[in-house]
Amino acid sequence: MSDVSSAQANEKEKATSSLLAPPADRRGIIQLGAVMGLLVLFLMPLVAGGYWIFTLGLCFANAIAIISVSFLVRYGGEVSIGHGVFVAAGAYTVALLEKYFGLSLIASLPVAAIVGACLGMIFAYPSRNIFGIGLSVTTMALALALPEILLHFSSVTGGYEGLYVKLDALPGMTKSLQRYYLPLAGLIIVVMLLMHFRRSRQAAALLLIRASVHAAESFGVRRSWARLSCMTLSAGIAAIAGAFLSFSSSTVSPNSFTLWTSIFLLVGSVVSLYSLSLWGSIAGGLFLTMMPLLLAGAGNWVPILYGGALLVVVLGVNALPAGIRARLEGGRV
Amino acid sequence: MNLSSIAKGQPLVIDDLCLSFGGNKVLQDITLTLEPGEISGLIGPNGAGKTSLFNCLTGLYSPQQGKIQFGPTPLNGLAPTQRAALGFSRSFQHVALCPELSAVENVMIGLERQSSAGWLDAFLPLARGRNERLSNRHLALAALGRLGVERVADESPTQLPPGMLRLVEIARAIAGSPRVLLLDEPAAGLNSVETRELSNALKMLRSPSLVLVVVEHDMDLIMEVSSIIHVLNVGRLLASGDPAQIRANPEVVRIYLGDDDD
Repeated sequence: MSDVSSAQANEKEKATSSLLAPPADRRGIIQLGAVMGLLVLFLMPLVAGGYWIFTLGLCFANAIAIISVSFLVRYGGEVSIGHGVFVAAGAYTVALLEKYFGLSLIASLPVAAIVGACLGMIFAYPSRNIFGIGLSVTTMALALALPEILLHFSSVTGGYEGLYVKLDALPGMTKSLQRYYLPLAGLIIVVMLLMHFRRSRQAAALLLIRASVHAAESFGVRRSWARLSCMTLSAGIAAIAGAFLSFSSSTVSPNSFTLWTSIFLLVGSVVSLYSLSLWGSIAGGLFLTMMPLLLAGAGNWVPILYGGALLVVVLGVNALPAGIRARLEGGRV
Repeated sequence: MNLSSIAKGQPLVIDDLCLSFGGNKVLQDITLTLEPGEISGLIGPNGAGKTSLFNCLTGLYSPQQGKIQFGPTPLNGLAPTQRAALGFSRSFQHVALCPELSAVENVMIGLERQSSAGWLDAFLPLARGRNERLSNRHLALAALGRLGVERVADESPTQLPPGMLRLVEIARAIAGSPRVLLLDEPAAGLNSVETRELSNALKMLRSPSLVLVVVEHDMDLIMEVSSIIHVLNVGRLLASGDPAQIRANPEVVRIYLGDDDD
């Protein structure tokens, strides 16, 4: 290529890279902010009261559940209105393993993840050729059926009353601290695993098949493999969230996993801008966990105010300049 | 069935191929042999069936009649992913890159069939996955380098002009050392410098173990790089021959190339 055109290309390269990546000093500030934010999260129990620690523990668990929904959107291009089912699978696995085998969260967490992933795979296989709204409605059917299934097997699931999760997971630490730090650690680990996953060939294959099925198939990526993988991973993450939710709230019951649970998870995912990052998912988790508490005194106005808050967040973010919005969304997946 | 089950340097034989959508006959009685070591040009007016033929070869379309055979291996009934495993690779008429992956990550997908890192490697920082990723990145950069666009490796496709996207997509197609390479209008959107680099790259790709087929409307390019040219017109094979024979074929000149006097 000629010197002129290569010089022009270099100029363009500099210009585009300045659009894509923040300059070094700003990147330093962002990293410093992230470290400070993490410090605040780790030191929070020293300054916040028990109620806030409890609520934030639930927020972290909800953030993982929101990531599971966002994962399906980002890598599968699909929307689920039934992820409460996979969250419930994780939650009930932890409660049942404690009830029948005396296992604490540390031992039951991997089992919960596997149970959730298996359920996801079982759901994904017959629905592997259903896409878009059809798949969303299919996931909704799962969410609608779940409470009745739990009640039908009440001798195992504890019926309306549900089951309790009481065992300590980390001996030597108070229960309230365990309920805070374990979901936080879980969230950080999930985010780190997904950051690593993003660089893998499997992630690239999933993203390509979302963009162009023909191109992906021409390079050996099967559509059914993509759907099975995506749903299995997403359901596994949801089950991990459920395991932490059951531990942090000390109880599981059918009321915790209605259709509304799944819808609110999707709302949280939208509020987080489908982010798979720590801060994005925490923003979604905070909205999901805190908004009902903040509006608790509003009586009949709760649904209206909740809807209003949701509109403000979604429309507000949409009104931001494209560059800021892209940064909030975390740029590429 | 995989790549190792087929000896290198096998021809791709198309025998009496017919494809129709409803009553619309897209391809009729196509019989031709695409030899390794040659660059085969495929030309014809819009709607002649060139891309449909590519789609039949890669398994995206299932012809109603006829056979496609790669060496001793019949391809009828094989899914696109199975043909990819045999070494088929292609670029698309409309660029099909993933906007959420960088240029080099898109090219690395061309190495998918020869990659083996598993799910554990995907989630955990294990040596095998890291080494494979590094090696694939080097190969992808080399493919971009062959087309003179290595400098855009870490750019997002959303930031690149159409000609550059086209070259990145071709780099993806050639990255995995394919046995059959099908390029659909590779020069569309390229400027003259980029077309020259593409032409050189195509000539360098010629190898005794590669069946290389190029669909193109840029006659200068196709005449320069092709050893043999097949001309399609309304779904039928109109003519086959070397560039000089095709230029001299009055039927081809009338239907597609046009007279200089026109």
